[in-house]
Amino acid sequence: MTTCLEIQPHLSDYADAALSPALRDIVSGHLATCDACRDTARDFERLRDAARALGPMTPPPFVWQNIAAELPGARRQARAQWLGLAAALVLVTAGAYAFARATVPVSHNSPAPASNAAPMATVETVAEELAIAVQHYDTAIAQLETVAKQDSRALPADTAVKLQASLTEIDKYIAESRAALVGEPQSEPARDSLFDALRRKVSILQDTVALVGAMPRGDQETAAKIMDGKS
Amino acid sequence: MVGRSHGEDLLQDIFLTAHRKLDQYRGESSLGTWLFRLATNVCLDHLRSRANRNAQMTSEFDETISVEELSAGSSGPVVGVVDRLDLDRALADLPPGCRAVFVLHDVEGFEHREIAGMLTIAEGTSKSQLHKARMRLRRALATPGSARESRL
Repeated sequence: MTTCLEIQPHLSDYADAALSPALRDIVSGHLATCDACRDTARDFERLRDAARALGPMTPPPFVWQNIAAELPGARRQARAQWLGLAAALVLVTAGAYAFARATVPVSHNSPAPASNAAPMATVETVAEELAIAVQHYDTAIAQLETVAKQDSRALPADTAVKLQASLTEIDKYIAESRAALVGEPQSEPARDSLFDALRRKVSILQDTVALVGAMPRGDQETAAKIMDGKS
Repeated sequence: MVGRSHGEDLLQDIFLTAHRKLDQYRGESSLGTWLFRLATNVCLDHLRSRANRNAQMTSEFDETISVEELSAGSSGPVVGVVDRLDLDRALADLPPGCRAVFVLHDVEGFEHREIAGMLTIAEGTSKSQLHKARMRLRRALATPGSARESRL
């Protein structure tokens, strides 16, 4: 017979399906007879799902401009390492920004979310900021494509084919998203869709650059992780 | 400096720090992991300095978990549909350590093993901090009229 105090430290892992089969059976047995612990596990799942749904937040474009202004000469660096970093930074931004933003208490009269830009922004300003943000991605993608094409000879043929197929598919999605945005320039879903597609392309290119780095070292484990999307 | 602009300044610090320390990246972990660790440390450093000013924060990874934080409490689900803004506010009220773990695990989807590497803590600490964060959020987001809420 297990008690609630024995079970409760395992409820988080249970909600995340991260328990060993034996321990999972013990917890399941307890939950079948304990409403309180069962409700706790269910609430943990709801909290996790709600947190996951928060999704990425894109900082306003002026943040990029400020950073670029602080990095004179960054554009002149052509090393693959720096380009890989640029791509990774794009990916990591959402998480870092989410955490950074959560480091200060949110006022109950808090301003609109980041995606709504500044409250006084005009339509023209929003459109300009959107264009700058898209340009940022386009520049990062162009640089990464250059590196990926230069060094992709190091990749095994089947890996290169898989990556190229992913890129072709995402290019099609980007083209559709751009077309949708032209038709509805103020549509937030259309904007989100385009940024999501651009982020995915950066991710694929980043994986390509990382693979190119892993192959010459014979680092098959890293390469396999990258291909599994776990790196 | 409040709210969103504060986060934007921290983000800028993270990018500039990453640029400055790039030559220290040795490839032991993935670039993404290295950056998340760096970003989290910049944020925690910021919180530490703020805490020093306020002189009222305990260790960010305090292992002590009260009975109430461990206890499921009375029966009945307490969390209904979670409103995004409510979750944002409740997150902001969490202690920095368990907030960092919650964001990395539940928002970003990292595993405890990865979080332990990023925050330089034990995997068990990451698990206990997540449990603590979830219990606190559960209490903070209690639906009015739920069994627990009416008890409190």
